[in-house]
Amino acid sequence: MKKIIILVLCIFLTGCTHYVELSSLDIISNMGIDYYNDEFHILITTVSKDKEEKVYQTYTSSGKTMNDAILNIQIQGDKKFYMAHLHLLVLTPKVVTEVLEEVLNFFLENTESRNDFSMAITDNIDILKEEEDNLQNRIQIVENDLGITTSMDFEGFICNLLEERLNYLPIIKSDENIEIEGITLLNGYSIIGELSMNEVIIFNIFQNNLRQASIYDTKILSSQTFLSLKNDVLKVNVECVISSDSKDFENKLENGFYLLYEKFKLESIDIFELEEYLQKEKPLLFKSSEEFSFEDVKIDFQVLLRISKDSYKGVKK
Amino acid sequence: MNDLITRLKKDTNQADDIIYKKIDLDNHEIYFIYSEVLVSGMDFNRFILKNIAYLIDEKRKIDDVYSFLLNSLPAHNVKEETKYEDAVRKLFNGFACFYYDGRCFSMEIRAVLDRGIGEAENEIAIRGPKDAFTENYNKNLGLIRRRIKSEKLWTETLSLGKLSDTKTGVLYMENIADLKFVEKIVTTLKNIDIDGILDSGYLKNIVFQEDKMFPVVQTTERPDLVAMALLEGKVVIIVDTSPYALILPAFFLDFFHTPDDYYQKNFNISFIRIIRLLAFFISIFLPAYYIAITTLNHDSISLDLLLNFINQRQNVAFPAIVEALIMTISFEILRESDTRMASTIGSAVSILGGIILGDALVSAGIISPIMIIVVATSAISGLVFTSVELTNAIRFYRIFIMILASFLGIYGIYIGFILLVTHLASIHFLGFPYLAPISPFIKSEQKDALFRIPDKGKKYRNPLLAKKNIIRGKRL
Repeated sequence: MKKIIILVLCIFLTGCTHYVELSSLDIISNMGIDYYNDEFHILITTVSKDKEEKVYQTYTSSGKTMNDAILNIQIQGDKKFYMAHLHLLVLTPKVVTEVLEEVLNFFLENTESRNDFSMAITDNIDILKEEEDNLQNRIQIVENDLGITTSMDFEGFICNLLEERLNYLPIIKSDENIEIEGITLLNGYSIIGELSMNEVIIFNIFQNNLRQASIYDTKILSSQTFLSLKNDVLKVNVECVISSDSKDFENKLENGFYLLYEKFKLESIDIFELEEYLQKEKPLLFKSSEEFSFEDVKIDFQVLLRISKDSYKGVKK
Repeated sequence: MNDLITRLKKDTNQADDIIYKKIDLDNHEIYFIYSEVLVSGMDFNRFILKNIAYLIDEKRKIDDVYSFLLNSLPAHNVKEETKYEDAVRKLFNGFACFYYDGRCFSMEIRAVLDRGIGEAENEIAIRGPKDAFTENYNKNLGLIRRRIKSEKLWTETLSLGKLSDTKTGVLYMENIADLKFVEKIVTTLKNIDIDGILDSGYLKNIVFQEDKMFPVVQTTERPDLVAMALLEGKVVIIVDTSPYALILPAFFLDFFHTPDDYYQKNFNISFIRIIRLLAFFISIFLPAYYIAITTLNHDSISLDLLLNFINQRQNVAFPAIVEALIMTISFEILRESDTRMASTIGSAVSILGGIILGDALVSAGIISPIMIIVVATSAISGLVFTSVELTNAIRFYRIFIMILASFLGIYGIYIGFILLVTHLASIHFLGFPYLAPISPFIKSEQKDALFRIPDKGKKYRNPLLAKKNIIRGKRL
């Protein structure tokens, strides 16, 4: 009898606090956060369905803290704003450089939100009013088909932050049209630079994260990068499958790698995280020889091209 | 026995159907006592009265009328009765009693009071034999013996029920089954203290089922399934006046198997068994999962689906659990009325309930269309199984887990699942673990457990059941 009473009490006294009927929910699909005048400015897009059509609505508010700003938004709505289906979080550079920690903590502490939403950076969060639903899809398409940006989700961002690795966010530009190109690089909570379209492609080739892309008038269909260390020379072997033979493409791509590497080396940033690779793969080098220094390691980028069998061979006479 | 007629008339309150036919044979007053509703009048006229008439016509001198008729009347089952009680029991079992000078013998001249052998109504066969048991004990036994032509098919015959005196047979293969188990069953049956056994369901409920929610005894109307069970080493009980045989013991997975499984290709059967298992889980968990995702775990489905659900539930007045309970109870009422109604009216009730009422409930904002889909899918999945007890157990767990899910969401479903598995694993029927051969794991049985794996004939019997001749096909 005692067991039954305990079971009944457990059922009735737990769980129900989160009970919300579906009809009382307003689903947040996108969120933009800006920071100025010592206040968080938030813009959210909610989505609902009217018959077959999706209906979007935007709300804006501000507050001294993230919680204040969210509470101020909640006052405007007649339903509970629900964050578990948040698709895209857009931050401004100012948020990233000044209050990123508070923003990240807000999402980590929020039990309602999930960790799989995408993140991006933009100068103007009002772009969410124009592109209500398609922004996250567009980032994915640009990454997969063009390779000129790289998406990042919240969980990946937090992991990179905790492991003290370089972080990046896709850039959404809003000049005349909304365009997604390039990435912003972050080291910890500070922005260290931006990569242009070609640099992102090279970066993605190195990360083995490129599906297909066009660079130096050549279409890369797939690529694979291997690292190996021999006689203090770290070889970066890049194998690319391209659609058609292209003159001097190998040299251009190798040069692109060197330029990108050197550009960030000047600021003492190892963009390809080669030192970390060596520490992981050859830990004995760092332990056994006190004289060993990564600075002495030569980097050799080598590109090997293969032309796709399915490529267009021209019309035979 | 001297006052048989007087006593019988008094005891039966001079029942109309008891005939006391007096015949004068060679100056001897002889009596034939029988029930006109239980005895075949045609056979009685043709074989008994015709012979007596012949003797009267010939004016034959008979010294010992009793002995003469006992030995000469053409009846296949003739027995002298010395006790009044035995004679009365025979009388109400379709025998005719011959009475003369305080002595009595009985002759079997039963009328055929059952229907002929028909097709199975509840366990429909796609392939394989179509015949089904009837209400006649002998016919049922004959249908089994027709399939197992072995002297090792043994029968323990009992008469159960103080007033009904129902003939009950315990069937088993002497060279396969565990005789201790058979003895246990026979002893249990003998200890039944009840006035009447009117169907095999009585035995199932009173003796074997006890308070178990899941069925531990399999009920079947198919003789081929009974024959399979006997060859497996199981024990079968057939009861006179019942078209259903009981197979003991039944394991949980037995309800996912049908005799048809053994008449078709193994690959197809494995697929169908997966479907049955899926249907079992869908039937129990689908409404609970819907309640969980619409009340507590909105994040566990995709946005598009969630938006559709929100759209559909926009004008519904009740919370999801109330909506689900209304639908489930409505369905059960419809099912019950459909089962009890005459078939001509039944279809009208189905249409009225299923289509018109469903549509009206949606229009009135009582139920959302998606809830109809969920409850209907769940209910239809539960009807995959022919066992009524299993369907009832599924219904209980469906409602129980629905309530858990409405309070605890998906965690409630986990708790319900754990309770279900614990419940199933804790059932032991007369020493047999219900979840066998999964728990305990019996390797040799896995080829015909959840799946049916191609094999050149199943080589081993279930070692839990068969204590002798475990290898199939071995010369028995």
